[in-house]
Amino acid sequence: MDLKDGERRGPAGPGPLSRQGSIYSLTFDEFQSTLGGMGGGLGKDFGSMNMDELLRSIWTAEESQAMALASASASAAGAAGEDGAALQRQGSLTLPRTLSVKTVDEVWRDFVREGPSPGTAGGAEPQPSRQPTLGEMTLEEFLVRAGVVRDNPAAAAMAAAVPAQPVAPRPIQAVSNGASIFFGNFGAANDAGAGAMGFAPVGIGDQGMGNGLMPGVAGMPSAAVNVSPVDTSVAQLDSVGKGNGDLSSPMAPVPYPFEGVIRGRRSGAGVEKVVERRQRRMIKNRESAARSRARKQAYTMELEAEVQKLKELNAELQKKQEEMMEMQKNQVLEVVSNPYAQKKRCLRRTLTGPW
Amino acid sequence: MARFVDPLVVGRVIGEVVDLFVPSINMTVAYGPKDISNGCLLKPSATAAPPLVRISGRRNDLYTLIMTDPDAPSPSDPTMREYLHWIVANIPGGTDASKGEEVVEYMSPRPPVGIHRYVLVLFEQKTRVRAEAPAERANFNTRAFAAAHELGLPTAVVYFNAQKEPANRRR
Repeated sequence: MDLKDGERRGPAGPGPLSRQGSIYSLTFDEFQSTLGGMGGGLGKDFGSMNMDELLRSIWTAEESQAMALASASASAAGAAGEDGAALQRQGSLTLPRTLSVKTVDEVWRDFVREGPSPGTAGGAEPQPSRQPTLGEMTLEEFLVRAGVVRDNPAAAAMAAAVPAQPVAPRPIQAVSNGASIFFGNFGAANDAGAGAMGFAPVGIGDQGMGNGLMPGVAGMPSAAVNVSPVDTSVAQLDSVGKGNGDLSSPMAPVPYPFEGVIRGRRSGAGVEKVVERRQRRMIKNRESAARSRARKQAYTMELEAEVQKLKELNAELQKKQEEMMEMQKNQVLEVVSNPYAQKKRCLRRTLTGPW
Repeated sequence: MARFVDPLVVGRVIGEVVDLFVPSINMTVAYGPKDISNGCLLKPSATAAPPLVRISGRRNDLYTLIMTDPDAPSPSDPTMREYLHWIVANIPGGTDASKGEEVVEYMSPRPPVGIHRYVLVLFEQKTRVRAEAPAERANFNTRAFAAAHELGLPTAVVYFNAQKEPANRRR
């Protein structure tokens, strides 16, 4: 766990920093190498991912990028906004449902079949007609051409108006988050690790459980209007909310000023509450562990000092005793070697007798 | 001979209760027959009666002893820091705390939550003082008290830990 955590942050950190750009301007090849550390965890390359998974891995990477860029006080959304890319999370990405289950390879094949087509959303640069491989395409282009569109807030509000269907998948989401939060914490012993928790759920929870989770969501009876995929919004809400919570002071209850919260008002708040409570308990637990260590160490030091003191005292006393013994022995020897001394004294005493 | 100061730093007694000082007086604290060493864990039931606090020092010097709990009511949320347990003033050097004047009556440790530290701090007085008992035991401040009575830095500190004893569940 520890290792993975470090890996994930490691390669993602320096890359975006030096490039100063958005993840979306990376090509697939670059993106894959950026996620190099995660590659082992992913266990598959992009070709075999479905679009949903791809988006998630992008968000994961983006979030870690935001972490790297953001100062402790900046919120995740704010930091992402500074990147200045066309496709940003604050205007969330939505995925037509038919697309979300397709693999990247399938989508790519469609592209090739269609030939050079204009982007479906505005803001796409003119497509060069020859694009030999998927690896050289930038993420942005790919997403735009695949028909992933950017929601504006109005659309988000509309999505919010579509009622109640999010409720079903949420508990699953909450569970997976819970588990992965725990892992994230596990690997992170110090406070800097708290940052890792923010995106840990997306990375671990999704890789571990995403396969089970997503088909369920996709197959949900949402013959609804607008086909705005519920799971993306939920995932987003969770990851963004948490990233924000971690960056600011974790002890204070933080209101999450995100549209995601508005979108999933009821159960979203519940998830937040649970997550927050868990985090607070975790932090307390960590503090308590630190105190316990300090207590033990202090007591050990005290006892060591005591032992040292007693040793010195013992050595001193033993030396003293030896000296005393020596002195006694000398006296005895003196008496033995010079027996007359005493006799003389005795004689002298008798000599001072009356006669 | 003065005691080591390091355990006090690691145990965060220096920092949270008193400032860094150089011990100049030897103080031994004994609950019953056993001397306590810094950081040892005692049962609250063993601390019901006031400890025997013997100090070195010259007969003409007077000392003030303060016992506080910086972890009240809970170590992770010490809103009552420090909780005052005992103040004895005007203790002549070379004697024990019973020869001084008890300003605040001894109250035995009763930690409700978590493992609390109980800190006994000894100050040397400049003159004989008439210390007044603080109105409340909660939110006592050893530093402020020392400043108010011109006690300066401590001359000796001993602390121990205590934790609520588990209730007798087995019957």
